[in-house]
Amino acid sequence: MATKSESDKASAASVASSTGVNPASRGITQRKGQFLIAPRRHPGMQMMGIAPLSFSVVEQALKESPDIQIIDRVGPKQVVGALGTGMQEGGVLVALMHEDKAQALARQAQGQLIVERDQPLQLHDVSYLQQPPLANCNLPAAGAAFSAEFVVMGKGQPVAGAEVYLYGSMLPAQGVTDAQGRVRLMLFGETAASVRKLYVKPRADFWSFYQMQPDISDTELNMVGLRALSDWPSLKNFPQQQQLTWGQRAMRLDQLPNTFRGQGVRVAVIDSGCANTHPDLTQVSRGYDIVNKSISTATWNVDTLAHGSHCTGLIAGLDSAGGIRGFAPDAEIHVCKLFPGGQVSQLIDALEYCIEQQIDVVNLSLGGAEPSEALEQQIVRAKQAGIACIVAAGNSGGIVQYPGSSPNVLTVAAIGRVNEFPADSYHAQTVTPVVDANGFFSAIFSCYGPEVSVCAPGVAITSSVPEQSYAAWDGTSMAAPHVTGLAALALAHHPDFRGSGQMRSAARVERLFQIIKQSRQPLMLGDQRRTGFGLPDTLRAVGLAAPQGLPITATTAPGLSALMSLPALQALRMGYSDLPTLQAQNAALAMPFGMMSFPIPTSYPQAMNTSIMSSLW
Amino acid sequence: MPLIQSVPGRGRYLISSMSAEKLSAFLSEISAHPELQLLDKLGPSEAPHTAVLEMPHTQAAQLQQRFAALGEINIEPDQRLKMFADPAASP
Repeated sequence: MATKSESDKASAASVASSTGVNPASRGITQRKGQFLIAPRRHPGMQMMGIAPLSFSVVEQALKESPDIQIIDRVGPKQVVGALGTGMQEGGVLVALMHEDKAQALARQAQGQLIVERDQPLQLHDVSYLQQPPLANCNLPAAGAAFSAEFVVMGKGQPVAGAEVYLYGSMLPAQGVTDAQGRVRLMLFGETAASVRKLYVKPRADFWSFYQMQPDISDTELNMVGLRALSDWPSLKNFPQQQQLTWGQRAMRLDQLPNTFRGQGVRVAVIDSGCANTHPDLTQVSRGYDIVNKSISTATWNVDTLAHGSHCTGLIAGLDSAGGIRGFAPDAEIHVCKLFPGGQVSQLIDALEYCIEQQIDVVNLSLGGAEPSEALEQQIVRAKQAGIACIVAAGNSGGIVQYPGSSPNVLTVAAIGRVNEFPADSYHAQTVTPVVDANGFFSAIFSCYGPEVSVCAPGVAITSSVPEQSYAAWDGTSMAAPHVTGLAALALAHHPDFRGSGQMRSAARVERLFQIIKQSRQPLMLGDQRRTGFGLPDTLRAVGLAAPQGLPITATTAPGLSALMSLPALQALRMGYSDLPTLQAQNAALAMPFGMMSFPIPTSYPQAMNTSIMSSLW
Repeated sequence: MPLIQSVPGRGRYLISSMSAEKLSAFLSEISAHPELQLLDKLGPSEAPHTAVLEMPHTQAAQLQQRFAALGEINIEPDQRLKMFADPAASP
């Protein structure tokens, strides 16, 4: 979409009038990449009587191709040296070509030619990696700076406030577009050929744009054309016409009778606040600003980061003619504002508010670097008061972060679905190699481990942002509210939560977690540490459809909510391979471990069984 | 919990206990300490379970050693939290 499309041409034409710059701006495409090419010399091929391709023949063929430019030949400098290493004829060609040309070349050679991208290398300097970004790295003091100007356009108009990141081999340059949609970025010590990535993130209403190896000019204005969210088929006529997110549809919210709306359930969103000036969020009227409580607790509805508004819209967005409808539009929402800022002490304070207000479900799309014993105590108090904490696993792509690693919460990893976002948006970079028959994949950034309870949509999720807009975001932050909204529906409508089942207790929380896990649609993505029990299903969670597969035969005990001790909390930070250690520690501490028993489906591989067992602390 | 480093400077710390009485006794004990500043008390107003204090890191490290021996009160840094959205924005 980036360029050369009709809309971009129209955009370019309007640049002159709206920004006052030369309309001869250029769109951004991928530049030619640098590839390494060499005949494959594999002993097995020679045993089969297949002689390696002649290096000189390959070189000559490439030279004759108008799309390929040979820029270097790497290999033995002297014939003597070559003979000494057994390389009668050898070396590697370095050539410039487009990605599709390289792929075609590899296909045509039928395995006899090595064709691979000449990868940029990085310094694995630990001291550098541990420094805060943009704070302590030495920039090149000498040498030329690469400077480029960009104009970001959408629907024929300049897009103001878009974040533009330009990545070279060191630190990225970053800026925000002005009212004319323009921004100039400078990368020290780089050239046009060393620029690796361009990422444009609009504040709202458009898809992001991401281009590897971008062809960027330092003499002409570089134009980036953004797609409107409503250009995407599943968001047609949005936001004038109400839509569900692809994730809500994947969880079958679209098949839920309209009388199932989460009424009577209290949900707290502990986040950056919630802008109830947004048309989807006008019903939100209760909250507590913890960050500014010394001044006023009433400013919970000021959401400068938009994160809390996005999450709240997914949980309880108003059911109206337009916008995004949430899972439980009739639930009673309480907003606890923790960001900007956000410290463990404030989260403890927020959970205290939840205990006082008799909240039923809490959404925590946040986390910290280390487990906290003080916070864990408060999570246990909340659970004993009947509060179910639904927590995002984290976005580092590593082990689950705390409090997602707590045994007293329901932890949510993120999945995406192909064909739910433009190929040139950043969302395409989150796809992992295993994609199942329904197009689901585990998001590359999602934290994983035995603590993951379930997974939910967390890639290209459209929801409300201040003041009256919508944005498509990625993150386990977006996955958790899908499950929080479903949890509110389950509490409001599942038969198990009527009568004595309504009583607020740790056992009710455990039953809720169990129902959510049992509702899952199994995903065939290989590694269960990335998906837990699978994707929860709305109809099953409210009791309108039978649970999938073999049921968990619960032996839930109140002791499941026992407070984990310091050593056990430390063990939470260990990797999956440390589970035997964790089990041993728990046994030594007489901690409950694997307190639920259930039949193991015979189709699961043994490693997966271990993962299931380990996730049930 | 990670070992608190005895380094120069001050920081925010959480002091928590399962026993409100023990926490209350500790807070009474340190009330006159010039370097320990009580910022907040968290929990039910009649029986807070957590206190937020600002103090020198050296003092916090000493308290951690003392509490480790007793096992009834915990001290830990008041860590910053972050939101889990937009992984692309991190370089």
